[in-house]
Amino acid sequence: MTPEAQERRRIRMPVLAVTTVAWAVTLLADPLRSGSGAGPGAGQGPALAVLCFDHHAIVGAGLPASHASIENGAGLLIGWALMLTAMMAPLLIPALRHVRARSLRSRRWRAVILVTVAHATVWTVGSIELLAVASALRSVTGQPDLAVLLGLVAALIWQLSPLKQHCLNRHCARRPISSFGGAADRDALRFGGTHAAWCLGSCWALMLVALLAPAWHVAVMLVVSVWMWVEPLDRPERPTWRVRFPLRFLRIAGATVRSLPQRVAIRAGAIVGPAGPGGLGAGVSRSGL
Amino acid sequence: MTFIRRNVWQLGGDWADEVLWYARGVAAMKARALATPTSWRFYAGMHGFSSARWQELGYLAPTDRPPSQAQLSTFWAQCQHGSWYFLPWHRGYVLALEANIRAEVVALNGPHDWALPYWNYFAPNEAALPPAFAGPDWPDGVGDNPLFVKQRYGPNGDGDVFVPTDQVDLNALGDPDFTGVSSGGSPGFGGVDTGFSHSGHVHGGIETQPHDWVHGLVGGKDAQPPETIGAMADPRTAALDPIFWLHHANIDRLWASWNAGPAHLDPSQPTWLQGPASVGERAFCAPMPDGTTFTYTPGEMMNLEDLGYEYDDLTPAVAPVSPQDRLDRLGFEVPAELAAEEGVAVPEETNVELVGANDETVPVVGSESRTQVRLDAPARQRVADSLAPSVAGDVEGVAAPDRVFLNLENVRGQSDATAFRVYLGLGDEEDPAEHPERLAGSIAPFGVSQASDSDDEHAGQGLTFVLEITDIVDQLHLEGGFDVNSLPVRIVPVRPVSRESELSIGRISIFRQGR
Repeated sequence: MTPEAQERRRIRMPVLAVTTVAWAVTLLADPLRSGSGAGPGAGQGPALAVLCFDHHAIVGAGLPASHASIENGAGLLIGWALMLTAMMAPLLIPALRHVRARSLRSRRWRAVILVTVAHATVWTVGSIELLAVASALRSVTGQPDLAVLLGLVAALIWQLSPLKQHCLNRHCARRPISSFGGAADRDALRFGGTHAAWCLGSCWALMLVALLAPAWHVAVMLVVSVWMWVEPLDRPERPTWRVRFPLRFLRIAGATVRSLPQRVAIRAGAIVGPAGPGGLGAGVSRSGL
Repeated sequence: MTFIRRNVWQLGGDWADEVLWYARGVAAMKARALATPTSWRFYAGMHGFSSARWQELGYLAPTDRPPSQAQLSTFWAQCQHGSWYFLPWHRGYVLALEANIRAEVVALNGPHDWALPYWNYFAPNEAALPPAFAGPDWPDGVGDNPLFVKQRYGPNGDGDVFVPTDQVDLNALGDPDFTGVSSGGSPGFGGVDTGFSHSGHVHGGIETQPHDWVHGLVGGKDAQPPETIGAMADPRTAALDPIFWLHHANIDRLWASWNAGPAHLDPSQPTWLQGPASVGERAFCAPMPDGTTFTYTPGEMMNLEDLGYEYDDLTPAVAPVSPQDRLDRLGFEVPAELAAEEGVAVPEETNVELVGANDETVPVVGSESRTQVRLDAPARQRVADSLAPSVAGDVEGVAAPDRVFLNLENVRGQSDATAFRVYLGLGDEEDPAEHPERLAGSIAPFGVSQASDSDDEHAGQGLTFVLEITDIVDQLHLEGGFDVNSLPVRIVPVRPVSRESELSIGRISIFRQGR
């Protein structure tokens, strides 16, 4: 493993471990097919029902209505923290790597925490607004299916739009941060907040769809999360109206699968490298144009 | 047949056969249409392309039919910079161009063993642009010399093109490791493993010096309005200049020279050997004269003998400093069993730590910019402790002294031709010209304008350059001048920088790399 790969792993592995735990708890508490508007006694978990301000579902889940407000608050916090961690943590990996590497040793943990807090704060504020939009859409349409259809249309338009690309491009930037004192704290907070803002700008429409899903809510969350995680793998491009699909992720996955036998052979020392004898062309591939 | 690449200055004349045939081959390729895969401009587009810049320099006309979308997607804008693929991609690229030129040479009844010369600007009296490139005429006095490029302005912007030997160095040849880190320590001789990242913003050792520097100073910027940036100074136009290929032949030669050093090994990771196609990017490829596509991987570029060529001389003009010299200077006594250098292809672990940084963005404008790098006392002490000589009673007792690096982070700007020198530890009244021992290095921000574009692959964050300042820190330590709260840094541009260039350095920092 290269030194750079070692450094990537230092952040990536703990974050992915936390993400895995968050998803495991989420799936245990709220199975994949739970819905946010399936009505009383539909077997949905309290956390996500609370997230969607679904009073009927709260009661249907066995919580006394008179205690709904207390459980509301606790459930909201728990559910929210779970959802935020499960969906957003992997998106933080590049930002955390940057601040950790570029901070004094004595400040690394502090910088990481400040970036994470700022990120979570922006996403929390943004998500409250998305929840309000989701609730309003349901109220206006009166039909969950129609609301999610509208959400899908909005997501599709946003996905094609140059503004989406604008947000994706800026989400990748790593700005310089101060090293000492209050300026370092301020820069870490600003970096985390800015990173989250561009992330939110890029992903809001997909999140809205997840919040509107009438059934299979957690499953939709999972699909949306994976999409959000792999989308930044593609290169920044000029913002234009175009179809955006995380093609690079598919290419990486395909290349990884195809190269597995050769990688195993190289590691085992069976192959040094495919260069052959002779001049240019010998041992290297050619194909017609 | 093994092709031998020779020093362009030692071929026996300004228009020696190798140079004359090169010119004929270039002329033949230049005569082809843009959309023809074996045309000069198509090959240049494989390195980089900008419609505006190509039009500005006269290489693109409205009547030009562009290559097909399939050709663009397959071949164009491939160049690898800020990545450990930098060297192997360019090796294959130069090989392919050489094959195309050779095919033209043979078609014109020239020698079948023609090989591309290289320009070793480090050799004594060879820093000037080879004469065949410097004038508009062929040797018989006829104009339209294909090796001449009008937009080649040189370090002073006056068309006198040479490489200032006091501003280039071969320090990278002393780096023991091919690949390093992007976190502030050594990026390695060949550059950083970029993983799944779509771009690298840290240039490797050999890429920074002399590669970027020669690009920036040979291309330069016209001293006269409209201050056009030279072709070589911009990655999107560099390969249009025929001198590009001799420069990159020399960079390629320096890679082979580094490999000849003790335990200087290329990476063995599958992701390097198999190239970026193994991480979801395009495969490296180039059009060949017979209509086929040459597809290659870094693993296939490792052995010159297998590739069928060699250099007439791999001796670097400047010998790299031996690690033992440093240990002697610091007063270390190294046991015999540790005296022999043990190299590994890629180091298992690298501990990199920030020691200090300045507090604000440094605008590079005018003749000089200054800032102070504030040092963290505990981190500075760790460096100092590592520099204290020790005598080992056993093998495990000796720890190598820290290496120290100056980072110029998030260098942004609109002009790729604004080269500058960086000095560390100069007193306020000291003249940098009188203190070459305080020169940390020279930077030509090749590609900075593209990297400063928020909608380009670097997302507007600019470029980060890493200069090894181990020697300067050693000097300061031995002089008692390292136990300070801050160190002064002075940026001295080669030519005064205008505000329009908008050149700035986001942060200047010092990192230690050691135990």
